[in-house]
Amino acid sequence: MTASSLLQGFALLLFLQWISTEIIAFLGIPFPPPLLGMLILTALLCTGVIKENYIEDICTALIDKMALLFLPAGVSMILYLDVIKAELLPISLTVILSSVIILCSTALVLEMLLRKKEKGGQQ
Amino acid sequence: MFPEALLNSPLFGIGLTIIIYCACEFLVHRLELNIIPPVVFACPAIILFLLYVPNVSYQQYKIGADFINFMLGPATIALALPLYRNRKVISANALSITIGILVATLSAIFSVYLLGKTLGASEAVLLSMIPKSVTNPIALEITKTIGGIQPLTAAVVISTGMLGATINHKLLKLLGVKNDIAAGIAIGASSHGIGTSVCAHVSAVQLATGGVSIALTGVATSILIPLLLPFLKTL
Repeated sequence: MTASSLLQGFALLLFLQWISTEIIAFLGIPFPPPLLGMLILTALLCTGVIKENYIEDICTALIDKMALLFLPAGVSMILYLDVIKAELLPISLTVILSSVIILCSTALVLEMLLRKKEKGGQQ
Repeated sequence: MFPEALLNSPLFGIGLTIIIYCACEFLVHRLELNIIPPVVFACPAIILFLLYVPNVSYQQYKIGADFINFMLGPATIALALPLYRNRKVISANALSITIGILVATLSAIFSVYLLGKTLGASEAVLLSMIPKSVTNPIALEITKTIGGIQPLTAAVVISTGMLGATINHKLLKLLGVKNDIAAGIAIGASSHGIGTSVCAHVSAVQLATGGVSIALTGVATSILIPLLLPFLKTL
């Protein structure tokens, strides 16, 4: 990993974010530009327009410490502590139970589908 | 305690976030608490710091924190790399993945609405919680369209992510889920980027399918919530 490979990759990511922002603004749809940027970069990599090693270093670094980047958004809940306190029980139970339900139902359905597919492929 | 000039410069918010995160990361490794991601300790630590250290305010923290928050954009685009590297696994299982995303999206919308309503959440809180499992920027857009409170959505989304980052892999192990595609899609769908960020240290396929899942559940949820809401309200 070199400083200039990080920098060139970062420049490309920023450029893609700008392009995606412009496209979303032009289309007038409620969709986050970075997710469009992710799809555009995937397409550029698949078509070979961008080589993997061009963005490898910056992508690896950003993904490795992605959790840190969520901290400011998490800290912003400080503004609504009174609402959260007032309905703490329904909020926390809903968050916990529904997270478990979503994770379990999705994982189990997929595990079953993929296992069936694997078996089908072997026959 | 801190000079006013420091508190009003970006140095304060950026410095506090990174120092507390690094300290939490160090402590987690040192105390062998590896089952809990550092961010779960860092977030309340920063909130407590802002609440109880005299003369510092959230508004001052935000000056620098906005820079770190900005980096989420490039980091989300960076998820294209694992997506590209695992494109063959993903396209070979496109149908199963699509079904998984639909199951995830529907179970998310129904479980949050019905649980919240049963447990007595107020209408505003209920609407703010519905998009809680999708990535923060999409969740905020959805809340805006259906009339919830945006910062409350952010709080619930982040809490969901931190909870997921802590329990996802333990739950999947308990359920006996071994397939990395199933795990990645389920993790991305239930706890978006924060949950998925843990996959970076577990499996490349999980990380890639997690990224796909964040994007697809985000799209599916933003289409389905406005369509299902009139029906949900009659329940």
